[in-house]
Amino acid sequence: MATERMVTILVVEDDPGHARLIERNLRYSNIANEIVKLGDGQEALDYLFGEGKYEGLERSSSLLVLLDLNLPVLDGFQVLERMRADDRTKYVPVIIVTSSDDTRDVERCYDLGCNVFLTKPVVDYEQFSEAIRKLGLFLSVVTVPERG
Amino acid sequence: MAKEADMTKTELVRELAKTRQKVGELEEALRISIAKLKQSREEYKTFAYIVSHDLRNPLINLKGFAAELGYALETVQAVVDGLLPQLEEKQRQAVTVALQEDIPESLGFIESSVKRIDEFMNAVLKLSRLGRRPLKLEPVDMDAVVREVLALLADQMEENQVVATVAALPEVVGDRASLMEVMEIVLKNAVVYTEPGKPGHVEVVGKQGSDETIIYVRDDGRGIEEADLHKVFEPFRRAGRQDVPGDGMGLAYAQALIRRHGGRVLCESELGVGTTFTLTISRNLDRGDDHGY
Repeated sequence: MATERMVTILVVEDDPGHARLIERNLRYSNIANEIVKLGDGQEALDYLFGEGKYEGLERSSSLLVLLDLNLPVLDGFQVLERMRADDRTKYVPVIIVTSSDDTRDVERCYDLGCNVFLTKPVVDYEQFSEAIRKLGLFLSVVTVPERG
Repeated sequence: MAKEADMTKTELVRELAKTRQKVGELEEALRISIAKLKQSREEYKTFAYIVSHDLRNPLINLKGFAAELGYALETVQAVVDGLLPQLEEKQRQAVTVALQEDIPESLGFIESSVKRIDEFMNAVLKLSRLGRRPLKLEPVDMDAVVREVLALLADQMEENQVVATVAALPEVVGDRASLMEVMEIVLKNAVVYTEPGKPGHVEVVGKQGSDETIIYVRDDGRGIEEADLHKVFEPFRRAGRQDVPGDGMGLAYAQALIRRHGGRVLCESELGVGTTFTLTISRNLDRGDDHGY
């Protein structure tokens, strides 16, 4: 029988303000899920693969990654590419959350295997806030059965 | 005599050599200048893109946290409403003014300023993208383009009692979407900047030159004052009465797109008489003569 786990949310974002806004809006939905904030692409991969300062980390096997594109060290494209090429992270859902709305970026991310592409709006923050809250609400009621 | 002629000949040959050398030097200087110009144009485009793109991040925080303060204010407001009767009159007034007037007003100014900066940056970003996006060159029937644009403007033309006549326009080689956008901008200006109550006439004619195709868009609308003419192509600048909504970017976009087609946009106008826009499009674009703006 498959065991069920609560999803851990990784917020990969180098702007601490944006990371905090995303976290706050997720929390408004009263979710109890663990939220891990990671500030650059390399740190995100280290966390995912238990390398570097995360060596030996027993991370949750149920993950959802909210990934920015413009990141230091390794950018979001590189993170996504590495995730999709590795069996351990191949199926982890990835939502791109970026300030870019460039169609080339959108296409490239879907080509690389992202699940959803969201643009952080400047003026319509309330709508974005609502979307992240709904995502939180959704995650608070779902549990993901483990693969295999 | 023969000796004199020989001397003149020698002098001429020497002069010719000198002139040749000078021409060579000038050519070299020109080549370097063009290379420098191209480089600074590239730098400008990259700069405009980076500025408008990267400034979005702090702006998202400004708007985001202003909205967060608004949410927090609602929470505080709900609690404070119940506590107000327990306060002294003076305190109650101060708290009420702060919560109901000062804080919402301050948040309102932050939000409207963010919106203006965002609109400004989006326009800079669009202008920079127009100069960068690849052109899909193909034969374009300008006649069909103009007719399509006029169909889009039909409601406004009816409202402003404007009639358009289109002479048979030549075919050009260019990027259809860009040329469509250019014609939409220029024709829309011709259709909306009319004298209220006075029926208008817009005429579109074309001419095939040896190196370029020329399209004239003539209107008998309100015209532009001579002192204002230089403003029309400048980003964010508008000329004349501001009674038609617009961001002052249309002709800057049109100029950027026409320059990509190796051409120019010229504007001649007389106040109260009308305006003529002259658009030229290079006929050598299919020979790889793509121009950045």
